[in-house]
Amino acid sequence: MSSKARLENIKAHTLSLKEFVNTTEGIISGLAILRKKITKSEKKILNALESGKQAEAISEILRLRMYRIEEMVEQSALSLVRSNRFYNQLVLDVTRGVEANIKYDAESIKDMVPEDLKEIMSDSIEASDFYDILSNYKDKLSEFVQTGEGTQ
Amino acid sequence: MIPWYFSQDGVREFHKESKAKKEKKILKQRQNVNQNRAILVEKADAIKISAKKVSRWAKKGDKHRATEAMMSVSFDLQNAEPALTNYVNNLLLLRVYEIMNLEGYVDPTTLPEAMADIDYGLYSLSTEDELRDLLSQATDPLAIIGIDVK
Repeated sequence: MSSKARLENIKAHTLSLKEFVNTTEGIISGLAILRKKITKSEKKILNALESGKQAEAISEILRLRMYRIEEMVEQSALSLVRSNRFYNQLVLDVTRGVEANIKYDAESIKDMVPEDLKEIMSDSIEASDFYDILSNYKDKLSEFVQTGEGTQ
Repeated sequence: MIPWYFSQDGVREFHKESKAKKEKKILKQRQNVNQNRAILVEKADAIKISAKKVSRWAKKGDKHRATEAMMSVSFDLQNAEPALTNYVNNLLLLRVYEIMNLEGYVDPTTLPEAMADIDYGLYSLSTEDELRDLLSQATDPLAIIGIDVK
């Protein structure tokens, strides 16, 4: 690759990297907002259960699922954006490394891939106190859901 | 392994289209998502109204009416499943279109071999059935605590 072509390449990947860094930040901010909505919805469910209003607790579940689905989609989108961000960073690092006479092979490049790029979903299905507390009401909830009858 | 999601015809075609066509598709997909979301919100509101009726009838000691309202809550909740699946499918497609439209986007199918085992979350799933199962296991509080709503 000529020096001019290399410079053009660096310029293009630097711009793309900036774009993907900004998009990553936007998704992370969106995820923080979704997390707040999820916590609020979980609180509504637990408050309703504590007041003996099982139907009202169950009625909030659809909204909670919607938020959690949005969270999972956003986390999936984040992994796609992160992989692109990393790719652009990788190209820039390797290009600069080659200029500095650093030798790369498939194994050394593989080692440069951050571990957290491979663990997105495990983070999304995080355990929370909500499910522990919710399981205390399992009998009342399951009576309601399976038979359509129950007490309020 | 190449994630199945990115090998779909619609996604591959999008990658090759002009900027203007891409933006048109994104706009249309955003409308689909907004419609899907509006349906879900409407359903959630309707379920809430029925749930409040349960509390009201139960307080008045009218067991029959309370039971009817409860059944309505339960029925509407189960019937929301196809709407949820449709919503997530459209939302996934919208987000992938929006990301593919970013300058310098590289498809997972063309990323270097060293990046082959990246977890793309829902985009890494291989079938729609797998997606449905995962959504139920990961997002349904009742399923998580072991209550079968089906």
